[in-house]
Amino acid sequence: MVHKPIEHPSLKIDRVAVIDDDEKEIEIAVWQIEDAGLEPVVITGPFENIDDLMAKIMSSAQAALCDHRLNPYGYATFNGASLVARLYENKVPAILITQYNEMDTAVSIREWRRHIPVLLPRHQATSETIVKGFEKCLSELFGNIHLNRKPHRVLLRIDNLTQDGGENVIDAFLPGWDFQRAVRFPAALIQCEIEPKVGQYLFAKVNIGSVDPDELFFFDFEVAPEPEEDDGLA
Amino acid sequence: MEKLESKQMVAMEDNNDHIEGEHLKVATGILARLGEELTPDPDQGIMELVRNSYDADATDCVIEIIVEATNRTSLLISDNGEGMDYHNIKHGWLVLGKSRKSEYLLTKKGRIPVGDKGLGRLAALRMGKEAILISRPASEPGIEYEVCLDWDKYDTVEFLEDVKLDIKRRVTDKSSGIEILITDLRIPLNRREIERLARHILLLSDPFSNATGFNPSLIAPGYDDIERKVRNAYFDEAEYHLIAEVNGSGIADVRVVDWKGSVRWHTENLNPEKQFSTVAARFDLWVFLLDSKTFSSRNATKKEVKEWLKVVGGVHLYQRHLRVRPYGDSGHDWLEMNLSRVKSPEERPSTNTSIGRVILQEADERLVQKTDRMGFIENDAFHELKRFAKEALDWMAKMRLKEAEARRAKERQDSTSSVKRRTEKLDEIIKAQLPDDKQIIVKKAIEEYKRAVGRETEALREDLQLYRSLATAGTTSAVFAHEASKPATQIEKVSEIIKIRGEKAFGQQYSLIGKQVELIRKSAQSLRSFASLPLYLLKRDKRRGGNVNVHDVIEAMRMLFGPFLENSKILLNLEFVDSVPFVVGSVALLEAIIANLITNTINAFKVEGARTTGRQVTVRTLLSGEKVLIQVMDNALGIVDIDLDEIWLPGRTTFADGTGFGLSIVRDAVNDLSGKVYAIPQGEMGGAEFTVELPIAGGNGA
Repeated sequence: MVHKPIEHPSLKIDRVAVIDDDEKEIEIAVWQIEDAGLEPVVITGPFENIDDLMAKIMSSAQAALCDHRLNPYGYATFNGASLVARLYENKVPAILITQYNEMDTAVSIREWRRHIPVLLPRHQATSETIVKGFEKCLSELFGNIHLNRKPHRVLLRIDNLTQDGGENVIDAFLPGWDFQRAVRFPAALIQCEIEPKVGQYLFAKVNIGSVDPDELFFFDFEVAPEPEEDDGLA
Repeated sequence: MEKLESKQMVAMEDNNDHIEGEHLKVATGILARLGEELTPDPDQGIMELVRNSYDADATDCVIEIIVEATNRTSLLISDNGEGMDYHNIKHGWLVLGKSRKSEYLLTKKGRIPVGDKGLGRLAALRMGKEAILISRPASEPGIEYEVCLDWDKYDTVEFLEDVKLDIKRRVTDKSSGIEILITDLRIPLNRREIERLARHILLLSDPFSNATGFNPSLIAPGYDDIERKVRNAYFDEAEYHLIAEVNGSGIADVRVVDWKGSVRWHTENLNPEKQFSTVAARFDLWVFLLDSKTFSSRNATKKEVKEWLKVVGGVHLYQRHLRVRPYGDSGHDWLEMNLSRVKSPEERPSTNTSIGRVILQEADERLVQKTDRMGFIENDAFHELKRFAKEALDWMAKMRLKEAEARRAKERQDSTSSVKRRTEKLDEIIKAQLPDDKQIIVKKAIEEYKRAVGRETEALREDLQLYRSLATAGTTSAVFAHEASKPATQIEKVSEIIKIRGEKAFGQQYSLIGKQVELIRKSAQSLRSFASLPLYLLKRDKRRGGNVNVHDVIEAMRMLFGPFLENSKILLNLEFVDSVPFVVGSVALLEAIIANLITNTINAFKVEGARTTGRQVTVRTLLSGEKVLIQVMDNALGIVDIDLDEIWLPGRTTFADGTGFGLSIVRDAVNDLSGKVYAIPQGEMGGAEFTVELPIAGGNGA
């Protein structure tokens, strides 16, 4: 294989860690990384502590390709989304791969989505999209944030409080994004001093430049002030 | 004037001086802005005048619509309240927009004022050519004041203060009160508006009790009929009466009383984990079972109750004994009862089958009405009040559902032994009561009857079996899809890797196996897309209610069915109307309609004799008034060998491997979305044509 690292002024990627609980998937990822001109580094589990896995990745590679569900075949006690977000905080480019895109994006991935620049549904992961994904990660990590990923402070209205896969979730309308379409996110994203209620208005920072609801992330929630009783007409 | 102004300007420039005594002026156009434009519904403005009568301690308030011979219509509102003296007219009635929000003093009769800021009143007064006020203050017996607002005069001047108003004072022998005559209405009130006004007047003071001592009435054509309907109370015919009370500490006590008056279910603390941080309130809901069986033993007829509910149904909200609009108005289902019923129809009341009220306990300033008087400002206290009422409804539904499930289980158990017992009894009667020769004939007839019933039961059992097998197929295919999607993706990706590596390693030689590898990749891709179908359809949040974009759902179905349509060589054309129609419901329901109609089309081309080339299906959306039409049509053979009425019945199909449930599901889902569905055997394209008609949610999103 011809070795062809991904170059960026701040970081060069030539070794990519592969994190997956499925051996067949690991093999495929290895081939794809090789085809992309990079060197795959398979990190074998199991891991109970995210810091241990972080340390292994950071000592053996400059980037990571990470599956979301790591628990089914007993690889790790945490999920891939949380790992990618931690790597992001440490300026390690990481791509999250998901097989069950439909089921995971709104809750378990959305919780960490702010720090996941690239999410690839498994069938879209090829050597080409992997390289492009790492380029996008590098760009964001070193200051060039794409319009789709820039957060804006927006108003949202809570439409429904419910459960999804055992997690408390919120469905909310963001008139500044799409006033007809509710978006689901985990209630855990809202800091504990705010008690969410149906019909309540909140401010939050959201990347409303993205058209795809699966890409939206939320943080810095505030309770919106109540409308003034005297609106000046009296 | 101009000369003076220019002199002053020159003086200013020369001496660096200033001019005193100027003030803001208000242009006459503001009257329309703050009046009819802010409060466009005439009935809402009139209701403000009625509220003023309540504040003036009136016991009666009469609204009269006078249609003169010349077809001119006038409106007279009169009451027997305290009236206003010169001071009150000058500093109160003639001042627009003066807030009285700090004036929470009780009236002489102990009422808490519900008065306004004068803006709704302005809209009502401006409905005619003139508004004439005659006021007889109780503080000055035998005296009345009159003031006339001639709106034409305001059209001829620039500023409001340019029109001088005279307040006339004269002697009268009438008792205290107010009369307001609005002459020559610019837009005469039509029957529908009068009906709406009548409903508001009747529901204004709590029709469920006489606590207010305030009787507004309307003299207008057709009013008697509406009044009769509202005043006829059928509360005793309700199957259930929900009584939920939340106290000042946020604890809610809820009980449900049945039609016999016994408490069926009771909880002292509706939500111990999360109390309701709102004003103290009581929520009553009377739920009716509008079926013939229930009404066979009641005093009223089903029709009477239905008509009554049509006029008064919904959950009305009362603050200080007076109704706050728009809660409970037609189309304003503020507790989303109809939506909850769509999501889970069993044991849920709708606004057509129930009537209710929420009474807010005395003065609590946490709930404040909006300036336009249409509802409360939606603050925390209001949302919590809503949560309280909705959780009470949910709790009642849960209790009723539990009971229904227990009842069904018992019915299933009882029915078999009951049939056996009754058959034995019948045999005994025949033996005892009939002569031997007649016994044979009767027994034969009964045997034939039993066989016919048996056949019917057998058919129903088969239907049930089929439904159960379909449900099992649904759940297992979801499991299969979940497990199969991963290996399918793996095959697809490995074939891509073989291609990349093969081309690199073998160059031209790779073409020997290139096509075969590509076929593996494509087959795996189809497998993955088939596997994604049940997972996509079963996505949990699709069953959530809300506004659903019709075009988005159709587009998603096109993507999902793409490989199926491609395999069957069917070209799918989408013809969408320009604006985007939304319907109220859930994505799952709309998907059920589109997916089953497309599946029906795919099956239609599998029939022997159906064309093999040029296969087409068109999905079209159209707008027709407040409805969106979704048409699905194809150029297959159409609906043949089956009666048009029968296509909707479960289990009826002319397709060899069809289940016969697709169109039944379409019919049920359309029904849940309050729509209609029609079929034409041979439509525009030659094949079957289905038209689904659904009500649009709150207009079109452009």
